[in-house]
Amino acid sequence: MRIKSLFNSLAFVLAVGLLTACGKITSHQEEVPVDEAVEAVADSIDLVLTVARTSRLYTAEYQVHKIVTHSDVKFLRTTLLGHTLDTRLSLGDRKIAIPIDVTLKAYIDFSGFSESQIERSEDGTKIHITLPDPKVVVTSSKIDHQSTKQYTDILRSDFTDEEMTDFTAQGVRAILKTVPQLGILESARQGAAQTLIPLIASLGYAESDIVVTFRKQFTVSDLPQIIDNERSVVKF
Amino acid sequence: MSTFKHNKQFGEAGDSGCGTVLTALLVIAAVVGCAFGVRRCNSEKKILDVEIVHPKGIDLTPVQIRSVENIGEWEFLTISDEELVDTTRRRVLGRDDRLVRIYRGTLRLGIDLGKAREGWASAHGDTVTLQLPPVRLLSERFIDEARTRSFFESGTWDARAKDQMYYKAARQMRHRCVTPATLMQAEENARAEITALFRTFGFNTVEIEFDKL
Repeated sequence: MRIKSLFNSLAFVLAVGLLTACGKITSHQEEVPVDEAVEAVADSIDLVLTVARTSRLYTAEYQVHKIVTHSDVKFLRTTLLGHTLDTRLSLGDRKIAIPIDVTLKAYIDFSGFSESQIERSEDGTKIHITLPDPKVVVTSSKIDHQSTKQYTDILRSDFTDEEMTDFTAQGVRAILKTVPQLGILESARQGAAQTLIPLIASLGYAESDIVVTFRKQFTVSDLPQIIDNERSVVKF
Repeated sequence: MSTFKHNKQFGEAGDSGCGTVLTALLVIAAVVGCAFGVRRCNSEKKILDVEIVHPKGIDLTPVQIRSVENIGEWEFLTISDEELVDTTRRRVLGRDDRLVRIYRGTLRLGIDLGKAREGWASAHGDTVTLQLPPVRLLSERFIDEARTRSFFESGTWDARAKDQMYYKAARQMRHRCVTPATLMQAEENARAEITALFRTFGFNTVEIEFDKL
C-alpha cells in the first residue's frame, strides 16, 4: 500500500516536473496578438468624440452579409524535436454562428481637390476631370441577434457578449479583406460619373465632352489596405 | 534471546525505511534535474513542448453581396460618437443581472444629390446658381456594432434585450449629434466646400440655396 502511495506521489512529481520543463500549460485565450494590441491603442484614441469637417462624395454603397462562425475546440499540442501533434481534447465543444450585415461605401474626398486636376481644351468646350483616389469605409455593421445560434455542451458555459463582439469584429475585418474582389472600385467610378457628369453638363458642357477618370487604373496590387486611425477605412 | 530478536527486527525495519526515503529523494532529485535540463534545452531549441491550444479565430465563410447601389451623398460633417447603454434584470433571489455595452457610431451630415430637384445647377457667365437639398443625416444606419465593447455582463441575455440596447444607443446618438447647431455647422461647411470646388471650375460667383426640411 505504501509502495503504491509512493509511486503515485512520484508520478505526480514527474508530471509536474515535465510540465515545468516544457514551459507551462498555455491557453491562447490569454495571448494578445500583436495586431490586436495595436488596435487596442487605436481604440483608446477613438474614445474622444470627434467632429470633423469633411467634403466626401459617397458614390457607391454595398450591403454585405456574412455568417461569422466559430468552433470552440481545444487541442493538446505536443511538439517533440520539431514535430507537432495536435490531439483534440474532449472537454465539450461550443459552436456559434453570428449573421452580420455590413454597409460599405466608396467615396471621393474633395477636400484636397485643386485646379491642377481639371484640364480644359483650348477652345474651352471639352473638360477632363481627374478624381482624387477613392476610399472605402465601413459605415455601419449590425449583428442579427435574433438569428444568432449557439450550441454548447452541458459542461461548457454560453458564449459571452465579449466573445461574440470579438467574433463580429473579426468578421468585419474578413469582409474588408475581400474588398478588392467586390468590384467596389468600378462602382465608385460609375457612381462618380453618374453624379458629376450631369452636374458639369448643367454648367454648359456637352455630356460627350466630359471625361471623368481616376488618377490611374487601380488593380488588386494597388490595394495595400492600410488601416488608418479610423479602423474601418481602406485606402486605395 | 527474545530481546536480541526484537532488536534485529527493529534494525531491519529502520534500514528499510531509510532506504526508501533515500530512494525517493534520489528519484525526486533526478526528476527535478531532468526537468531543469529539458527546460534549459527548450529555451535554446524546442525539444519538447506541451500546451493546450484554444484557437480564437473565426472560420472561413463566404461574403454575400446583398445589394449594390450608386449613390450621390455629399458629406460635410462627420461626428464620431460612443454611447454607454446598460440594462438590468431584477431578481427576487440573488444579485440582479446586468449588461453594459459601449456602442460606437459615426453620424454623417450632408446632402443627398439623388434628392436634388431637376435643374438644380445652372450657370450664367461666371456665376453658378445651386439649389441643393437640405442638409440632413445621410444614413440612419450609423452604428458600427462590430466595434461595440461589452463592458460588463452578468447573467444571460437574449437577442431581444440586445436589440433594444442597440436601438436605445441609436436614439441617444441621434439625439446628441443631430442638433440644429450641427446641422447649421454642416450647412456652413457645405457652402465653403462647394464654393471652393466650383471656383476650381472657373466660376467666380457661387450662389447656393438649400431646400427647407
